[in-house]
Amino acid sequence: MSLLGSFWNQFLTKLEEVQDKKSVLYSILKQARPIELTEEKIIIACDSYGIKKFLDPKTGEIEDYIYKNLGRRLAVEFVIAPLQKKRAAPPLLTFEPAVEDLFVKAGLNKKYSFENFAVSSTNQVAYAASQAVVKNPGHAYNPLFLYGGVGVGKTHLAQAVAKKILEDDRDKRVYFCPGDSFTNELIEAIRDKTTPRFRRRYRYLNLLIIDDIQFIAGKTHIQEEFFHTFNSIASAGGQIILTSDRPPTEIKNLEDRLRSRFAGGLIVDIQEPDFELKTAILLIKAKEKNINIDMEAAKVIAERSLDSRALEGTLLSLYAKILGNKDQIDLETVDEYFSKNKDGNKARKINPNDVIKAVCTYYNVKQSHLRGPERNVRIVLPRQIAMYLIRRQVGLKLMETAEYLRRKDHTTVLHAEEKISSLLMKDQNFKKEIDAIIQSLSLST
Amino acid sequence: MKIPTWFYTLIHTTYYDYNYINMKITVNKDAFLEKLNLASRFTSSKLSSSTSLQGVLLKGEKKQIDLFSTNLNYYYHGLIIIEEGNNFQIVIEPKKVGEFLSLLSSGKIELDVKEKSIIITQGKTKGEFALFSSEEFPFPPPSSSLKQKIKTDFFKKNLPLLLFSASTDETRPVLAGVNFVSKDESTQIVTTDGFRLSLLNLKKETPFSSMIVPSGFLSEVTRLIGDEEEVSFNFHEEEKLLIFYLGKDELYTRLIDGEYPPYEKVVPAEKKTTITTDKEEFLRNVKLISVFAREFSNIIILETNKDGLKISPKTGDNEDSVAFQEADVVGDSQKIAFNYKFLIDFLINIPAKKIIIELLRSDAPVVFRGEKIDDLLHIIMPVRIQE
Repeated sequence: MSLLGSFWNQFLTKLEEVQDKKSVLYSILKQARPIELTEEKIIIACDSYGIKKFLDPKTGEIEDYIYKNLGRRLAVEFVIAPLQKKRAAPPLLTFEPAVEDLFVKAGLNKKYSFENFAVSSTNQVAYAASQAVVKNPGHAYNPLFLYGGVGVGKTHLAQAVAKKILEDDRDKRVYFCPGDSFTNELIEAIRDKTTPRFRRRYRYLNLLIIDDIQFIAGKTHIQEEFFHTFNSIASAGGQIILTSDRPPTEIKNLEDRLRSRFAGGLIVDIQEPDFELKTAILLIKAKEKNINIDMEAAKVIAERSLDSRALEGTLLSLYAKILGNKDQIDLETVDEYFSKNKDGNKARKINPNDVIKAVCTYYNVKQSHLRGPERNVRIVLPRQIAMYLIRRQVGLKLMETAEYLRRKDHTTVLHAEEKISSLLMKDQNFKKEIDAIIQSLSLST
Repeated sequence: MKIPTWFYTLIHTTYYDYNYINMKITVNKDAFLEKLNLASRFTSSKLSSSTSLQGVLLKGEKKQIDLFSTNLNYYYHGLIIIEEGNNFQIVIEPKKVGEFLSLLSSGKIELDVKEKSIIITQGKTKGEFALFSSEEFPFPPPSSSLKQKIKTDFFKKNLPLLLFSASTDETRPVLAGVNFVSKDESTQIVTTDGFRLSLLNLKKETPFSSMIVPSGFLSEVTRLIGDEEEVSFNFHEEEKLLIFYLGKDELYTRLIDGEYPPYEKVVPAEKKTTITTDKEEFLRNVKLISVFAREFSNIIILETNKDGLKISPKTGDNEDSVAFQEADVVGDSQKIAFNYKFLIDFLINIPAKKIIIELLRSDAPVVFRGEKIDDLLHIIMPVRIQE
C-alpha cells in the first residue's frame, strides 16, 4: 500500500476510536479517497458537491484530528473528482463526424480543392494569396477579394481555402455562402423574427466566404447586416473571402464603408485562363473522370474552348462520342468533332438580328414593335435588353446599335446599357432571364 | 434593568432540552405516512452511509412536526400540523415505520416518544421502533436569496420529453444530470446517456442559468407538482443549491459538478433519407419485433423501401419474423440497426401523431423528431451490423 493510502487508513482507524462508527463524518470520510499527500497538505477527492459542501466547514476539525492523532500539521483540501472506472466509451459521445460531413455542413463542394487547381500566370497571384490565407487565416489578407469572369476559378479557390482550413482543424467554423442566399436567409430571418439566430450563425464564424458578393449591392438593409457581420468576424480574428465578377470599385450601389472595408484586404484579379492553363485544366478534369485523352487532342480542345466550364462540356461530349468505339480521345475524334461543329464555331460571331430575334421570342413581342416608336413598358424593356445584348454580345458601337433599333441617338443605348446592368445586379431572376437569352443565342447559332 | 422578551426566547430555543422524554402526540396517520414516504425518497440508499443519512428526522415544536431527510446531495423539508404543542427531536428509520403505518386503518394514531424508541399506537395495535442518533444530523443549508417563479408547464410538458435520456449510471455523474445551457435568447436543455441524446430548445422564459441538475431530483419534483400553475424556486450560487417550494414542502438539490461532454458535434448536420410515419403504429411494430429481438442483444433492423420500413430482429437463420410499417420515405435507401429499447423510450415520450426520422449513414447518429414539435431533437446512435 502506498504511503498515502496507509497514512489515510491510519487516520481512519484513529478516527473510528474517537467518533461513533455510525457518525456521518466517519462514514463520509471512509468513502472519500485521498489523492495527494505532500509535506503541507492532503487532498481528498469526493464524489459530489453534496459531500464537498458537507466536509468544507469541517476542514478545521479534521485538521485537528490529524494533528492530535498522527502528529502532523497538514492542511486538508477537498476536491470533486468522481471515481473514473475504465469502461467502454459511450458510442454516441465519441462519434466523430467524417470530414465529408463537415464539408457539407460548411456548404462546400467536395470536388474543389487545391490539388485539382491548375496554376499559371493568369491566376498565380490569386493562388498564392489563397495559400497565404490558409497558412495565416484572419491575418494575412482580410478580406481576400477574388474577382474575375465566368469560369476562371474564383469559387474553386475560395472553396479550396475553406476545405484546407477544415481539414487542418475540424473544429473551425467555416461557411460558404452564395451571395443571394445571404440575402434570402436574412429576409427569411426578418420575416420569422429570427434575426438573432441568423446573426449567431454568421458572426461567430472562423471563415466566411460570400460567393458573388455583387448581389448584395443596392440593398441597404442587407449591406448593413453584412457590414456588421464583416466587422464582428474580422474583429474576432476570423477570415473573410469574397468573390465577385468585378472589382469593388465597379460594383454599383455598394456602400462606401463596405467598399473601403474590401479595399482594406487584398483584391486579386483572376484572368481568363490562357492556352497552357486550359490544357492543364482539361487534363486534370479528364483524369478525375477517368477519361483517356491524347495530349495533342487536349491542346486542340483547349484552343477552341473559351473557359473551364466549356472545356468540361466539350470533354464530356467527346467522351460520349468515343464511348464503346475507342479507349481514348485522340486527335482524329477532336478534329471530326470540331469540323462538324465548324459552322457553329464560325457563327460564334452573333449578329444583331439574332439578338433581336432571341429577345423577341423570349418576351413574345414582334420585331417590328421593337424597332417601332412605341414606349409601352412591355416593349421598352425588351428593347433595352436587345440594345444591351447587342453591345455586349455582338460588340457593336453605340451609334450602330442605335441604328439597328432605329433609335435617334446613342444616349438612348447608353441609358439602356446602364439600366440593364444595374437591374442585373439587383435582381437574381432578371439575371436568369438574361442568361437564358444568351444561352438561346449560342444554341440557335 | 428589564430584560426584553426576545432574549428569553433566544435562551429558550438555544438551550432547549430536546430529549424530552415520554411525550405523547396525536397525529393523523395518512398525513404522517404521506410525508414520511416522501421524506424517505431523499435519504441515502447506501448501506455504508451513516444512519443519520438513512433516517428521517422528526422535529416537534409547538403545534407542528417538521420532517427532514438528506443524502447530502438532496435535502427534504416538510411539515405536518398537530393539535397540541410539543417538543422533541428524533431520527427514525422510515422503511419499517412506513410499512407498519400503511397497514393501519385511516384516522388518528398516537406517537409516544421515549428515550431510545418511539411507540406508535392505534387502538390496541402498538409498534415500537428504535431511534437513530439525531446528534449530527445534517440540516439543509440556510438560503437567503429571493424566490423566483417558474411555470409548472416546464415540468409537465418540457421535462418529460428529455428526462428519460439521462443516464442512471453513477460512474459518470454529469450524464445523470440535466444540462441547462443558457444562450443569448434561448435555453438549451440536454440529456444523454452516451447512447442517445435529447436536446430541447426553449425561448428565454426558462429562468435557469447554465447548470447541471440531477435528473432524478427533477423527476421527483415533476412527480410532486399538482395543479398549481407556478412554483417558486431559488438558486443559491455559493452553495450550488437549487431549492423548490411545493406547498409546504421544500426540496433541495446540489448541482452536479463537472464538464458536460461536447454534445453539439453529435447533432448531425446532414441527412440523406427522411422517413415520416405514424407514431402509434411504429411503436406497435417495434414492440412486435422486440419479442424476437430480446434474444439477440435487443437489436432490431430497419430497412427502407419505397413505401415503407421493414422491421426485423437481428437473427442468424430465422428470417421469417418481420413487420412492415407504412411510411413516407424520401432519399437514399438505408439499412440501419437500433437497440429497440431506445426507440420505445422515445416513442412513448413524444406527444406527436407522426414522427420524422432523418438518416445519414448506418453508422452515424440518427435524428428523431415529433411532427409539429420543432424545439425537440432526439438522437440515437445506431448499432453496427456486419453485412
